[in-house]
Amino acid sequence: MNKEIAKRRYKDVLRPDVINNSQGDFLATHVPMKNLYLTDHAELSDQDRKSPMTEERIYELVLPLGEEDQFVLVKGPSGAGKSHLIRWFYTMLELRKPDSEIVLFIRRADNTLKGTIRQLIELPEVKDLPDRELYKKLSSASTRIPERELKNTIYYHFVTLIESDDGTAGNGEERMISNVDRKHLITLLQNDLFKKRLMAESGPVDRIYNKFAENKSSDVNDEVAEFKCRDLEIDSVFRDELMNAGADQKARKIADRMVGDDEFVKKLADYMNLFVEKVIQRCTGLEPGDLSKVIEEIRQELFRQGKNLTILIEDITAVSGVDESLLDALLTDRNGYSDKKMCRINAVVGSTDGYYRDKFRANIKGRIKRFVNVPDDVFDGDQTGLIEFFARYLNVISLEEDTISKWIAVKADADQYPVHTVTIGEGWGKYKVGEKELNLFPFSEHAILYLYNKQDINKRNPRALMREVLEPYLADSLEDLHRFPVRRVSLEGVNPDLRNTVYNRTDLEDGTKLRLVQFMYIWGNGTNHVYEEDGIKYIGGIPLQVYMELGLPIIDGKEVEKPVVEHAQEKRAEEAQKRDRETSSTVVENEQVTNVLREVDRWIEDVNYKLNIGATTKSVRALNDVRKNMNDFLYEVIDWLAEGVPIDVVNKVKETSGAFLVAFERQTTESNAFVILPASIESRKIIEAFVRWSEVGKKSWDFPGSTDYLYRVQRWSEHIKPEIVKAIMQYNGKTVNYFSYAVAAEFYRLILNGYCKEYKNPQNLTPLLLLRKFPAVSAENGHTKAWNDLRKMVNDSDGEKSRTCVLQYFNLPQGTAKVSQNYVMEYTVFNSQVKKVINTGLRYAEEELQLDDPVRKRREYSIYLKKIQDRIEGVIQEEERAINSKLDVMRQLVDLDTLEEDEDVREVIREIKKFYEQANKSHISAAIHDRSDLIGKCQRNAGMIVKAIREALCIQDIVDPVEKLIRLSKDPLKDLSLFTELLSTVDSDVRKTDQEIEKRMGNVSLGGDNSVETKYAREQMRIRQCRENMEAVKKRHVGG
Amino acid sequence: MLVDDIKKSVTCLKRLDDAESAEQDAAKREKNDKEFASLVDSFTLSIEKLSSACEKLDYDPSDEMIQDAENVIEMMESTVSLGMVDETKLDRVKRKSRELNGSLSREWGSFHRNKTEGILNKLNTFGGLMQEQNQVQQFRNRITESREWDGLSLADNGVHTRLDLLRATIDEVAHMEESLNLVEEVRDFIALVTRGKAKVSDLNETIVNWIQKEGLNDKFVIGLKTN
Amino acid sequence: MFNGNMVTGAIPARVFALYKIVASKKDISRGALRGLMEPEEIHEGTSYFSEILKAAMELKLVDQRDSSIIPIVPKEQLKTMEDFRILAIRNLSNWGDFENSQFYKCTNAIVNMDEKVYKHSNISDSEMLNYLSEQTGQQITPPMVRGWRFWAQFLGFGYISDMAFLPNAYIFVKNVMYIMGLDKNAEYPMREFMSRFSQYGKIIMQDSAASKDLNIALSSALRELHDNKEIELKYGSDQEHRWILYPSNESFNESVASIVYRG
Repeated sequence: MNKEIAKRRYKDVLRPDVINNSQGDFLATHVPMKNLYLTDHAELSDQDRKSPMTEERIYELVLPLGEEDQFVLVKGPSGAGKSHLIRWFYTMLELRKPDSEIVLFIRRADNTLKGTIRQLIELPEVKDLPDRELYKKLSSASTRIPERELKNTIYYHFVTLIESDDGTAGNGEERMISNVDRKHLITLLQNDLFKKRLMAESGPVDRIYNKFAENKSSDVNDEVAEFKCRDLEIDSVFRDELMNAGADQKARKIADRMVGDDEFVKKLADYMNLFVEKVIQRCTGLEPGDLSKVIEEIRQELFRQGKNLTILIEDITAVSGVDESLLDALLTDRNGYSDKKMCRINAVVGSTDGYYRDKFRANIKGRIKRFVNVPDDVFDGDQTGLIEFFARYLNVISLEEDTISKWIAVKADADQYPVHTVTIGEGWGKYKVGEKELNLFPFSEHAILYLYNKQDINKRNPRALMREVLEPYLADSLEDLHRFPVRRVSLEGVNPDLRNTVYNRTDLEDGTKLRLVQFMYIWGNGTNHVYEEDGIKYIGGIPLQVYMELGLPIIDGKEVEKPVVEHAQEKRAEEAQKRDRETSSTVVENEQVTNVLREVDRWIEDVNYKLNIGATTKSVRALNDVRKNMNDFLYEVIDWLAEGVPIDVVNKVKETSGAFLVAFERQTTESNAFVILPASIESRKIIEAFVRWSEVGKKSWDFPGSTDYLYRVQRWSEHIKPEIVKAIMQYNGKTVNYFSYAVAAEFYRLILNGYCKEYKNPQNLTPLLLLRKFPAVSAENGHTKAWNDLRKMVNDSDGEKSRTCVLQYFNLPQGTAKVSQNYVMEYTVFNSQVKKVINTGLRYAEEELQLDDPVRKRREYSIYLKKIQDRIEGVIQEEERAINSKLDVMRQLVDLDTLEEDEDVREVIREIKKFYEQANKSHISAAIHDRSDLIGKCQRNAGMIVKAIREALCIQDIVDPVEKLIRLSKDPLKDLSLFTELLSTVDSDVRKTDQEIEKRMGNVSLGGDNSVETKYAREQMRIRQCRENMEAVKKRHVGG
Repeated sequence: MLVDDIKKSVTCLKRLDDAESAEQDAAKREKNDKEFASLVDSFTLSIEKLSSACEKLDYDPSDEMIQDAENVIEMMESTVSLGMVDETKLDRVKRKSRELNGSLSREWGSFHRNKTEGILNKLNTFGGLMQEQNQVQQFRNRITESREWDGLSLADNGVHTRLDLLRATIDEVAHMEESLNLVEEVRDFIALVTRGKAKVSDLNETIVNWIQKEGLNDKFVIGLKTN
Repeated sequence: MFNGNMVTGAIPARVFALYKIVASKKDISRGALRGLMEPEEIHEGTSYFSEILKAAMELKLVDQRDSSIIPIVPKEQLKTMEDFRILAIRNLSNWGDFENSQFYKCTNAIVNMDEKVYKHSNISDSEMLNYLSEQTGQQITPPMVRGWRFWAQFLGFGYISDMAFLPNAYIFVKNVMYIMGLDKNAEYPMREFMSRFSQYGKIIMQDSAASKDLNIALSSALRELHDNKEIELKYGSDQEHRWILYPSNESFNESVASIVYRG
């Protein structure tokens, strides 16, 4: 290549349809076509294929420039080379024609009717035509009309034409659709929604518009201007929209019919297409006969001038709309119109197979007698032609325009074909043209063939090859040779030995390795064979200096004999191809391994490619397994305990589905992982190792070459180990702390169950407490419902989980399996960690709780602790409220300050007892109740009561809630309640007693308290009387 | 404070107890007073009877009786020495008084017998000799009725007590006897007859003459000795 | 574990945990120590305490005086598992009878199996047991091998993947080189290197002193050290004695003539 020139020229040369494309370039790049077929019928038969012709031959046969009118249709698939051929004809004609021959070349340039017409009218012959009117008409037809207006006009014309049609589309043949349908169709077409659809971009109206409007782009516009079925297809959604929009009933009716009825829709499309021509004509203002008139006039004029006409039309679709009449004109044999005095006409028209098949009317078809078939696979089996194609283009790109013009001036004499000066790319490969050699930089023969074969079968025509192979690689090579080749092509099916060797190099960057491998396989012969020839060292078939040009390293190779140069480069290229086509190497490879590696190669080579991780296709299943096996492997070989990672931490991550230690970069399904395996060659090796372990070693390392794979894996494991160890203990840069939360929760459980009564405050708690067996307490207590509910909650399964965590976290089990109660504790660390928790006072702010931990199994502890903490306040409040209410009651009844010792309480109880004794004595009904039980209890618990009171009074002054909680766990309420119950009961009894006393006192009436003297006065008098009497008796008494 | 309330309550209770028991006492006291009064009354009556008997009939109680009676008086005085009836003492004095009554009844009984025996004999002896047999019966009745100590103070006719009547009877009978002019022999003989010890040998002229004179021939029968 | 039969319960982490307790308490009764490691109220099942203590004593971390356990190594010198590893290697190698121990013999036997060991996806399968019993002249049982593997992994003879042993003594060799006290950037002829190495690393070397074919464990270790640029393996054509690394498709297949220690 001549770099400076190429840089300037290549864009122009490679754009074959741009108007500015010079003839010189065209000729210089032209590769003689070889596989052409000249027939008198349209379709190629196998028989026909037996006699291919070259272009020269066709030229001779088709353009003899005789007297007879002739029409030749050049047909073939799109991009096959029809227009190229026709252009070549034109170029040749121009060179060789006599002066009396007028050659009219309708280029595809913009492939629109207008463009075509303009080309026509710019021809000097047409300009000077006498019929100015016609000229004017043509002119105006080619002037610009605003797009929108034009499109609307198109649409409008359709509707009008259909409206005034009788169903036959003016063909006079049978009706294509019924009147009713036609009328309904019109209404539908007039419906806004439907119109919008048809007018949409890339819709039928657009396509029709594009066909005859101006088109300045260089895109090849192959599409036929017509309605396709899909344009008219209606689905139920659209039908519903119509309904909802309140479309006319007729429109709705036909829409209903169209839903799902493909046949009917096709009928409609076909029907409407019958109007395309007319519409176009109306839009352009041209009438059917206008173009043919033009041709006719031109012929007549030329006849007058004594000249003949050859018309070459690159692409008939360019004149959609008027093509029929044009074709008609071109097919008009003057022999039938001798009076018109027309010149001889040669017409060579290009058309795609499709267009010919669908759009040429039968009567036209019937009149075409000569066909040149240009097949699509023009290079198939013609490797030399393929390489020549590339070589010529590459050559022309490196030639100045005037060099070529000079060559044109000598009528493009083949012997004088100019060859560029190589300024870059020496040694890359060459193609011989006669005696000359064309440098193939930036390709090699092998590269061309390889890349050709890699193309999709539909993309092997010249146009596609230029667009997708020639141009891009060229551009890349001009840009930066040290990155060439940039593009990655799949190396599926090649012998992997070379690749493995390269990939195994530890001193090269991944990018370099990929590049080198691509280069050696595609440009070279895919081996590391080294030989010398003419003082040049070849490695893998490529000269040493090329590697250096590219900045690629030289690999050590195997010295071989120089391969015998067979007849032509062809042979060698063929062999190379064949070798590449072999799907297996010397060793029969395991299918799974191949599948996986293929997937992985794509992943490495294409930065946009996502690795298929999922569970569907087979190759992907193996990859999934790889990921799983890699993770399993790491879990096993990392000595977690030696790294200071508790087994519990490991297990929690392991048990979280979707959490991986290692996952791949760029996966189809995202996964959570600590370490991402990048898309690199090193990763490829690791993956390969694991696939082989699974598929070849059947889940063991017992397979050939395993030590090397194992070494890679071991080294990689060692390398990522620190990262994993660090990451497994962290998330979002924070160290996981769930052990602390579990500890705090467990302490809360102990407190709530009353196991921490002796501790003054949380800072006094000790780690040893956690190592005791403290089962849930279910005894009666005096706590409030809030307390007991919370206690129940912490004794439940979540609490058990916390406890288990507390014990398991620093347990040192054998292996990583699930643990049991066979504890061996890492005591020192356990101790210090727990102390840290104790020092927080068991209080964690919400931000400190790691509630955003993505691993659910860790987050559970945060959530649980939060639940507890949230409720603590409430519980404390309840307890305090209860305590205070008890204290209030007590304060009403006793002076709390006096209750300092047991004795004080007993004193009170004694008084109480006295009361009841007395009341009993007095038979007070209120005292009939037996309070002895209650009194007895209080008496026995006098000490506790005092303590409870003291405690209750102290609690109010404590600020720290957890400290409060601990104090409350002593259950002062129990004894407070007991004592309060006693006091209240007694109080109530006393009241009732007082009432009764009052009542009974009222009933008591004591008699008047007379003085004794007056009381017994009478009796005493009598007694005195008695005495007197007795005295008398005694006086008389004799005795005896 | 509760303890204060309790204490207050206890005090009130005690007071209630006292009050209620005091109430109960008052009733008792009344009852006791009543009993005392009635006891004193009845005793006084008894002593009056006694005194009356001594006076009117020469009744002479025993030393014991006197002592007992004086004891009872003392006891009665002591019962109300404190200003109110001591129940215990009351019970004792009641008992003693009952005993005394018993003794009085018994002693009177024997005294009465003695006293009235002769009279009854006389009545038996003379009774038949009387003109007014009714009177004799009356005398008998009076004697009978005054046998019981308890009823001695009763005045059946509303004027004279039985005691008085007894006295009267004794006197009237004696008078009757008088009126009969009984000589000694006759009197002895009648006495013997009343006793059932009159022998035929006891008869003498005087006696027979008397009998004939008085017209009491039919009133005397001869009987056989009963050994 | 090392003097006598190998056991499963005395895994490195536990031995170290025991040491840490003893070191922090300075003097603790056996009962109390056990109470901290296997808390009485919650512990169920077999007690491994005796095994762990014995191993700790074998490694000269702690000693027992009467009924007290006291630390031999001061706390400052033994803080991390890395320190522990070095100490263990040192103390074991310095123990005169190490080469006769069951542990030594088993290690040596397994490590020198090279790729034959890949066939055993469970190193306590009967074939392996038979082989080891043969090699050691003692009856080797599954628990012994299970116990061996913990220390094999910790000391770095290779990797244990689900009871399979994958030789690569990178960690071990790295630690031994540290103990050897090599000079940075000094080049040591292979003979000298191997002789010094054998003072501590004999356990993973070939039994035959004359053999210059290095086994996988040692080869992979040297390769890895070389690839990590912690050492540089050199090939020199004028050196007479060359050691040959285990064949590989990877880089550096030439025989090793000397090693440069990069530190």
